Amino acid sequence: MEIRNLGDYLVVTGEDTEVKGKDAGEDTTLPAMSLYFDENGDDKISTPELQNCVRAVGGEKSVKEATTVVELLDSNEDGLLGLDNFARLMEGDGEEEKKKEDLKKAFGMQNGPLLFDSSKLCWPLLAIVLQSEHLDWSIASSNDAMADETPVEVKDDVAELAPFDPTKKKKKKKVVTQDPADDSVDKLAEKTENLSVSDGLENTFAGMKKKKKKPLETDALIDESGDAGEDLDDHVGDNEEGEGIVLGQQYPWEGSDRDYEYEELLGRVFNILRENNPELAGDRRRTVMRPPQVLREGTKKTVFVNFMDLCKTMHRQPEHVMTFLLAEMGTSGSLDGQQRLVIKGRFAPKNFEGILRRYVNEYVICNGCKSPDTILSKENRLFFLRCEQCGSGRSVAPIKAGFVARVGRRKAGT
Amino acid sequence: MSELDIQIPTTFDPFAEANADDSSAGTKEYVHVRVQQRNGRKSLTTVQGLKKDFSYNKILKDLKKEFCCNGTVVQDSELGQVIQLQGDQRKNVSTFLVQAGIVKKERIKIHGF
Repeated sequence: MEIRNLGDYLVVTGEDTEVKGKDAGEDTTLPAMSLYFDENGDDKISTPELQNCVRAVGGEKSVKEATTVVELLDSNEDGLLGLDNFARLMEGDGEEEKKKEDLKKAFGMQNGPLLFDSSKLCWPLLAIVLQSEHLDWSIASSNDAMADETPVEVKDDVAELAPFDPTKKKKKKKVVTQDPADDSVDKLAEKTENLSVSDGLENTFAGMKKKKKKPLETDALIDESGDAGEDLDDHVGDNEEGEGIVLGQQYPWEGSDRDYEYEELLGRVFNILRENNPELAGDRRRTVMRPPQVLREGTKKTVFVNFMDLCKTMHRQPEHVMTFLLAEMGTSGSLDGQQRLVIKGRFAPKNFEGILRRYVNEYVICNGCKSPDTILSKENRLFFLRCEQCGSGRSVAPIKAGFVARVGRRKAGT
Repeated sequence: MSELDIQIPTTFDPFAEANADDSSAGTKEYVHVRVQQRNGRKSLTTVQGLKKDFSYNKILKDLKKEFCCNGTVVQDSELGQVIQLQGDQRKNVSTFLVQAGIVKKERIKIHGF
């Protein structure tokens, strides 16, 4: 079903607004959108249907919450969301404001727009709401996990609420080094076209925007969009540039004069980094090793079956690993014919795990970048660890067996 | 007998610095606490690398009393004196040594599984 196309999020770009002119002619968007979620074809959206569509975009909403939403929007109290409800929602005036407040509460975003990502339910509904405002919000189905994490904020300007060409959406978003000059020129052309179209819609937008934006900014923007073309263009150009970098995210410091806080700036840097080179932004892969397989040979010997495997995954000489193991355990042992390690004494797999973990920390993992991609080499009787990833090196202590007490029969010794 | 045991009072001790270094190296070096398996469920704990200024026998006496186990001081040809205790006393030993102020916590290295 198309519901899947709802994807993860609505992605709103500031890129083009031309389509809006086309959209203005389409008054059929509202029914179309409602039917979108209507599964049993009664032109109404019931609670289960709402839940389904939420589930389709990956959100999880309880029956209770879905019911609340339906109740809030439902004016004729039949437990169904009909077209008239949405129409009312769109067209109403003072009452509509109240409704929207209620809607916000239902979605748990009283505190402002930032909670959008936390409640995925609001996206499909928002889609409905926005559709009915003759805005073609295209809905990006992206499997980009990054997009999931960054709350996609609706961008500032009226004119920027624009349809999205699915083919270029991701790329456009990712592009950070957009040429601002080019952009603003393009925008200029587009904006001027758009201005006439969007003028009539401004009031409705104002209400809508309140949901996504802080009131302060909204006001400012409305004012600006009401201004003459030149002003708007400048402003939009700036916004574009900003958006290119921050991917449509909105920052808490926007619209206020306060200083940036460290945490916020740090978050911004990481967002940028994540968008551009995801491999650099933390999230390092954990080094995974298979658990050691340990058998008991008789009662007094332990066989470490996949010893060679583990040595290979660590890229270490089996001899080195073996001496370490034996020194730590304070016993003796040897490799058998099938390259298994036979150790004297009774040991549980857990014990091996602990020791191997210590070995990896000491002789495999690079201190600088924590990558296990290192080489152990011996120079002038000293062991050096060189990292293949970051090129750093360090010396590591040689393995010393230390004191081993004599255990067993006395006669055998001295 | 290690060289420390014989201390001849002279005006100039050529090894004074070396010995001092040794003891400071003792602070730099780790105290190794190891465990060894014996037959059955029995095990053995060895404490190696304590500073030579300490009287091993006195420490041993307190360790034995504290943990209710037997133990001995073993003379090793390379490593000097080593305390041996019966049973797996690694945790006990390290907490004891830290609490008594004999070693700092980061200087203790616990080996074994």
